Amino acid sequence: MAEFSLSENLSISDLLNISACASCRECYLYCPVYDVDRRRALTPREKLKNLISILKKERGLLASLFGPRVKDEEIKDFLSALYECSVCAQCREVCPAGIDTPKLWERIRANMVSSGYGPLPQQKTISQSIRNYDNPWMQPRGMRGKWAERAFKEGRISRPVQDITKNRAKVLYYVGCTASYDQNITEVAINFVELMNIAGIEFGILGPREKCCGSTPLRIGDYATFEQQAIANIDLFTELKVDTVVFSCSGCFKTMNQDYREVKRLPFRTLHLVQFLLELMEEKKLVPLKEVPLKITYHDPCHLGRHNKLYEEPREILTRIPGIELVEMKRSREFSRCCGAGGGVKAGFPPINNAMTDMRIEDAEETGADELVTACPFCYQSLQLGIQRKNSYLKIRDVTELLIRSVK
Amino acid sequence: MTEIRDIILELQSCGLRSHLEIYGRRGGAGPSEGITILMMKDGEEIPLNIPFYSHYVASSPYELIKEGDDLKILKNGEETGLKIRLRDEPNYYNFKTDEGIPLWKIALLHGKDCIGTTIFQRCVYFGKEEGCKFCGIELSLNNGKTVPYKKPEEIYMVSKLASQMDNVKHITITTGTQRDRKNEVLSLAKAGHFAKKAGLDVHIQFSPLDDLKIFDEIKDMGVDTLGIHIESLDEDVLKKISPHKADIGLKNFLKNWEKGVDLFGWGQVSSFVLIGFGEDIKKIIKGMKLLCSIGVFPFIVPFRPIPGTSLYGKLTPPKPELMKILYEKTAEAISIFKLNPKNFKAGCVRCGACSATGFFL
Repeated sequence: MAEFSLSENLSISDLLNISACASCRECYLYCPVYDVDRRRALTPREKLKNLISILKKERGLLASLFGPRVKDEEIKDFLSALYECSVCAQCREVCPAGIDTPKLWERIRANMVSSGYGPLPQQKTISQSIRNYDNPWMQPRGMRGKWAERAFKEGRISRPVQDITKNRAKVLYYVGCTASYDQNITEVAINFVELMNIAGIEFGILGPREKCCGSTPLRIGDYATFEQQAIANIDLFTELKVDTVVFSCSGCFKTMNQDYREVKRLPFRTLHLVQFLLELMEEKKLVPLKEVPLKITYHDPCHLGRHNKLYEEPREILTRIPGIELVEMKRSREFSRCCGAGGGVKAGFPPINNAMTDMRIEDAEETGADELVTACPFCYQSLQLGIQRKNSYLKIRDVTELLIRSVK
Repeated sequence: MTEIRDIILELQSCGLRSHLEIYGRRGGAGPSEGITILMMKDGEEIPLNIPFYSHYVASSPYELIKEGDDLKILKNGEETGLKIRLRDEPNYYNFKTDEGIPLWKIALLHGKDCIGTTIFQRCVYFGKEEGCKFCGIELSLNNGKTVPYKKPEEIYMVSKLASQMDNVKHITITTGTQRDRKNEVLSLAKAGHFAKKAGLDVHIQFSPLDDLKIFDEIKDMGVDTLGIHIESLDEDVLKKISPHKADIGLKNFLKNWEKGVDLFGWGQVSSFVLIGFGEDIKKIIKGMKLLCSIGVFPFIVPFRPIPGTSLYGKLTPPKPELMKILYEKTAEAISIFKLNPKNFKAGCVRCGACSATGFFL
């Protein structure tokens, strides 16, 4: 095991962030993990307090005289609290001191990994799977593009989806692991592809050559795996000379739109599909005409909303569909409650993920909406399972599903 | 038709007039005088503490009258329809300690099934500049209504008899602040230990401590719940009504509350939040949410001046409209943070007579 160090790679800005907490406890009011697990050690404020205590023992005056004196037990307690967090950025949003907590947690997690403490044993398979299969679901590479072939055979899309490595196009649709492999979610990709066909857009997918974006490894502190995926993807997209990469997954979008830029310059633009679809609607290439008489509520994915500030685009698309009545949950936009799937919580703490999802479904039920709409396959997956588990009357939808019903 | 809870709000703010001779609480530690009535709600008798002796009660629209054996509450001369009764005088009041002190001087019946006692009836801050302006702790001592110190064996006796003869279930043990804080708080815990032996659930109340290790000792002595009262969540108001608590500072309150929650459990620590001193509502709501978020029950109470205190005659209870807003916000936060008052094992929150929060849940 490498020598333990939490202060490794922490910048001056990180250290300022750590010491900026005013102990106002505003984060207690909003943290969605604390909502389902009332252990104060999980709150951002308490984590910062415990982090400072460890850093002092590692690098403080006494440590410099007598050597570091951090107890293993203390590290493990902190580790558990550090990982029981979906990095949803709700705490950053409400922090009066503006502490960039998600960034900080990710850096500290990386230090935990380099010290041999992290990630959690149950999260290790994610990185292994990505290194071996280029996806976290341990699925063969060859199956990645099968959804497109099947959808064309079944007549669900009007044209075969082009492999961009063979038929070059300016627009790359980066499908993402969840929408590619999860049979219950491929619908998202199919609908988006058909919307592109209707709008007459020349585009392609990578099929078996598509690689995981590396979001989950980055969130759980496995920076090496993330960096490997980032470089491979950036190099491939650059080689293909694409202008625009469009994402259906908010997590992939966040990772490429923000985190990749810290690794390498991106010679292409990155758009989430809600941005791309709205552009097509503005250009009148997609015109929603058919009525879709539904009362819906929209769940802001953390990576799309708080991390990328894309709150209005999905709402704009939905409210342009005739017949749609959009009602907001009590917690929406920057206060949207995380579904609990992100940040490694799904793999690391399944009961916490489930409890968080259940709370989000209750939020949605409270509005009286018929359907719960989102714009991220990962949230979709978690919410879909929650709806089944809770036997909720709600139906989960992706933005694309409602739009296609109106334009087709 | 006026909702029951609106009547309760008005009663707690305006009080109840009556020509009837009714025994109640005129002074003592804390912020309220009044009588307790028992009201039927959903097949259960709910205790309500209502202002009765104060000057402003004379202009209340509510009046308590007796018709035959029935008690009725009228509003502007018309029946409200509230089904109420007054508490019978508890049987244990008829007994004395070995030293001849009547047990009602040791502990009084509060609400429906709670007794309350003040271990040290003197407070280092009473009558001083930095003292709590609303508190009448030494008034009842000066009036001969109580004794300066209650011994653990007296607490045992009163607890045992109250439990056996009057179906009392829990006890609230409070105190005036002493110079030796450790001795003060351990005396409360020791009294609590004896009350526990007598079969009661125990709530003790004290102001924040510097040495948090004392909490472990309190816990070991069998105390069930804690009251650590900040009194106001508006620091400007707190400076005026309780300068010494303002000096303690929110930070120290938070440390004590958190330690209390760690040891006694989620929702087993409470704080009085008095309303009626011209608070900034936004600050109160924010602070109340903060309390809920760390597992502390905010016990929102309309301030009712005690005759003989410096605020008496200068202030009246807050308007029911204001209390309604605050109760609604409190109820919302309480339910979000799952702080059900029914789960509070002992003390003011379990009794609930002085606050109408329970009617908004």
